[in-house]
Amino acid sequence: MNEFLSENLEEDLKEEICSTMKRLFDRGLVSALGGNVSARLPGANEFWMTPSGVFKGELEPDDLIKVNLDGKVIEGVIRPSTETPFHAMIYKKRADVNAVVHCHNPVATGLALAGIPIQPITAESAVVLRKVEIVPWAFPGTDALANLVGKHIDGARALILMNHGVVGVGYNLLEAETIVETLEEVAMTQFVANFFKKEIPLIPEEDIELIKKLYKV
Amino acid sequence: MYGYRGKILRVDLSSRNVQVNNIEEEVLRKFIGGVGLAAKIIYEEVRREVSPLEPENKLVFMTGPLTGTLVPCTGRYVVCAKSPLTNAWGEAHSSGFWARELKRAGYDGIIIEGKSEKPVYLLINDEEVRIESANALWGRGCLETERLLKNELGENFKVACIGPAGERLVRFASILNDEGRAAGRCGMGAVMGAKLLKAIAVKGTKEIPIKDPERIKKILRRIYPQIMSFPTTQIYSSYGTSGELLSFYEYGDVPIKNFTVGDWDKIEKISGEVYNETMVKRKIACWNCPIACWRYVKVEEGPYAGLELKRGPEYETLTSLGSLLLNGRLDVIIKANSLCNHYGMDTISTGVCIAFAIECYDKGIITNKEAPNVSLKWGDPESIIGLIKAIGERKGIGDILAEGVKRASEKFGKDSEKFAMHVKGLEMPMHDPRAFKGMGLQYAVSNRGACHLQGLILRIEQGERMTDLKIYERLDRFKIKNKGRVLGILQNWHEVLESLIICKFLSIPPGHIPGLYSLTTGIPITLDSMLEAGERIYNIKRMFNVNCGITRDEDTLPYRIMHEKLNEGGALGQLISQNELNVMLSEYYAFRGWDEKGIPTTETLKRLGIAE
Repeated sequence: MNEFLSENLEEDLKEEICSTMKRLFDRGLVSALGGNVSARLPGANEFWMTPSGVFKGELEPDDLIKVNLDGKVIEGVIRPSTETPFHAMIYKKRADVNAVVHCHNPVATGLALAGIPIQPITAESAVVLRKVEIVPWAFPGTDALANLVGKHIDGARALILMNHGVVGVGYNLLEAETIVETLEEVAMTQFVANFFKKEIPLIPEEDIELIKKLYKV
Repeated sequence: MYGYRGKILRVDLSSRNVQVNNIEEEVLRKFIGGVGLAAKIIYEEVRREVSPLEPENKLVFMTGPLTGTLVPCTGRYVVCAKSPLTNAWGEAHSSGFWARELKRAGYDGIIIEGKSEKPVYLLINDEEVRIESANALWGRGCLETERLLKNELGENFKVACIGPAGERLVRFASILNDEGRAAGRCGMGAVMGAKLLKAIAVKGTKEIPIKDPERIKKILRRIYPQIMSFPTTQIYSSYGTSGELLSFYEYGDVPIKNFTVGDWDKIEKISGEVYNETMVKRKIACWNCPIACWRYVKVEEGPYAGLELKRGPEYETLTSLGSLLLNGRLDVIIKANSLCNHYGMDTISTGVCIAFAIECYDKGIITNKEAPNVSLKWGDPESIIGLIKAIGERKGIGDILAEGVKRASEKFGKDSEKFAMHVKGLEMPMHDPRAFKGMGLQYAVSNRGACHLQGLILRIEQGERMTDLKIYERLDRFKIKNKGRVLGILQNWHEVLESLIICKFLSIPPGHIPGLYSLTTGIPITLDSMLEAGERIYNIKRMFNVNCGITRDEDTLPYRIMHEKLNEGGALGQLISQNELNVMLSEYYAFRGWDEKGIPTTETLKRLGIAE
């Protein structure tokens, strides 16, 4: 890739990270201090990370930090997100992933806390989210959390981090954003249904089997 | 140059010669500024045989590249010299507005050399630097001196000065600025007094140039919600440091009756809650500080009614002049603090010396014969007030206590060194290391002697993590494993903070600091390079101490901490045995690249660029 093109693509990517954060913030999935997003050019060994502790509703491209897969800062002024280690871990393990979104989805995280797994209540939840595993608690920002995420991320598009939030991954930012939004939508639907009725109908067994075959869930 | 001024004033009081020295950028990159730069100067310029109170000792006041800038909590300065308490590395820190004024006058620091023939003060008014007579000020208290100088020179001048204790060479004399802020520890006031320098009055009118102020403002605006959310920030803002007193008490960390007991029925009477409710009138902030941990206090009732302090006691003083002496009266603590401010004496060392004297009296080591006309009773206001005056004026037994607890115990003898609470000669601060064993290691190895601030490992022992510094583990406060490594990292980081200089009460994640430094100075730097600079600074101070004769034998703790258990409270049954200390020291030395005697190896010194 020629250098000029690469530079422009990186600037576009940084803009897109900021607009993704803004949409997630406006939707209440990222809070003033909680949540982070990263993305890389396909196949790159470095990625752009949102900063730590900076008010999430007003991020600008200059706030982003470029880090390598060891989590080392390559470029940027302020501190990268505390969660950089697990973003790096995902990029190391998943060549197909170029964007990672970590949000504090209130409903999905709340259901996990209550011990309620995300269930196949819609075709979308089964197809888009596949199986959503719950990653046990580890202290944010630690290598222990990164290792746990690394253990669960194979084949997953979304994870729930116990007592913490959710992770969505994708080939690009829109895909990762779609995952966390869908996860919250499904969680909310499930929550509403569960509020009125303990046993809720799932999509029929034969359709689940079909989805499993087609999508290898 | 941005952030820095690139200039240091060098004032020789013997010859009355004033020079302005330029600082090379390469030096700033290696030592950052603040305590780092002061350490380099003292290491290179103060010979090992120099006695601290001789003219050949140098007193170095230093600011940092962030001092007085947009970055919050940057009103601090450090003052360093060979310490008259330890005969080794000495440093003390203070905040307020004086440091910013010095930067605005165009200087990063001041080196005071020699000794004046008569009492003088230093006047700095931008480029104008004069040595003026202090005859009219000599003998005056610190706050009075500051007021008199402001009356004469104008309210815009900021003043750092000593009181009668510094003049009389009380070995734990402090330097005060901005109506009661103190560079308290290590006797820097005595070094200043020995030079017959009463005060430094400074006024500056030049803006401090910042490389990218708009970007800094933009970043800071959006990180305030996070930094103001940290627990300690909220506690310090709501109560001042006294807000932690009761929680430290629960840990068994608050020293009571000269570190002999673990509970006390009057502890709540001196708590942050009661203090703020009954004595505090308003919060006070230093330069550009969103926390405002200082408290303006006024005594409303009792024998000291009407007494006001613009900078009232904080945690260390509430305990050193309170629980340590079994004094549960806040009004007495405030009175005692005000006397220490008047004389210019470190409240920690003062409290420890008084506790020592009372225990000596209890044990019959001293009697009314050695201490006539002075009362020596636990919790007795007359004893506390009387002894502070005796020390400040070097009268009677006060003359012995003014030498510091180490020398006083040598004088009194009769095993009194077993309860003389100091390390290397510096009196113990108000965190009992039997409650946090990492603090024991910290006290033992700190370059200035028993220091609670350099490392603050108790935060990690309380459960805090510092992921930016790769400190992930939880450290059990009563165990010793991993404490050497964690303390080493923390000390290196604290050298960075004290070189920049940024207040440790600002809980800003380390990862933000390189960026704020670069946007201020225009000098790019990484967190790793900063930590290496911190390590370099720590080691150069250690080498100064090694040259002064300090090795493993001096990296120790008071007998009481190592042999006497507390029979109650949150640290029940705990002590730090010699074996435990040895294990921690060996791990710590190995992490630091020092040999088993605690001396940095040649490889370590070469790696850090200290040795060729």
